[in-house]
Amino acid sequence: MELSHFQERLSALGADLSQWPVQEADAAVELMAVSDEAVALFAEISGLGLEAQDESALIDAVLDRARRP
Amino acid sequence: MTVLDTNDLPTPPPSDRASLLAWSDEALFEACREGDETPFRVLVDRHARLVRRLALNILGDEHEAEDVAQEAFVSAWRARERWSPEARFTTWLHRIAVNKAIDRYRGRRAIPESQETITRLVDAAPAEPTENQQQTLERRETSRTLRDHLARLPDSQRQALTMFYFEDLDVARIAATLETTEQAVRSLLKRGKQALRSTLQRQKKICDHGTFAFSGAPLGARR
Repeated sequence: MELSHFQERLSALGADLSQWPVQEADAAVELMAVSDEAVALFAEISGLGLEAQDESALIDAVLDRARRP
Repeated sequence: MTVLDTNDLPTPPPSDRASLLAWSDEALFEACREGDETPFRVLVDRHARLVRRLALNILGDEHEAEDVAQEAFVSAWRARERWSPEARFTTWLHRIAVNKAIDRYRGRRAIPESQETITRLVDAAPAEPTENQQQTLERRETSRTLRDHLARLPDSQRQALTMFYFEDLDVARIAATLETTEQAVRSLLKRGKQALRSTLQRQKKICDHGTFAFSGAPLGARR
């Protein structure tokens, strides 16, 4: 999948890949594996409408795991 | 959000969380290098939602997305001394998270051991005596499609559906196997069926054949 096609499908279908046709979702994932531009586009669309929430549980879990050897 | 250049940093002690809120991502991560967790807490709080959402949009499973978010931040923390301030922090962090989600996504496509059971049962199912060659081909195509889509479901949903429909386990046994509650299993079965049905309908490969329509009874019970 080319970046331009990925961008087009992101605009049309949104960033939730479960809503994409399977083959296109697979192709999108393979593109993101090698393209930082694709990841940046994906992040841009994924970030739309995100609401703030309390992240203290995640922060504690991350630091707990990070402290382990 | 205003991104401050590292050189423009105010100079509060790194443990002063309120002051850190104004710092750029890059400045905060630089401040982590000596092992101070407070700037890192600010970074996780700032970026967790998007990191989690990236993983969710790839994997379609909230539990897996939460795991990926944790793993991504743990990896970032452990790599803090190697990180180059020339790179934008979010570009680097998103790459870590997306790679971890992609690893899991690819892992799903590989047919796990439990899928072999599905393959064996579906392929071994005898054709109806009246079934003509075309129907047999359609049946095989439907079987392949079903297996493909099952393999793409989140782990928990796939396991629950496989055990219920193909291994004839009841909800209680599945709950015990997955170490969860019966209510959670019912929820997994419901969500899995919905996901499978909508995906199959979208693919338009199942038509009205109905052989593998998930109507509620385990496959073994229908045979």
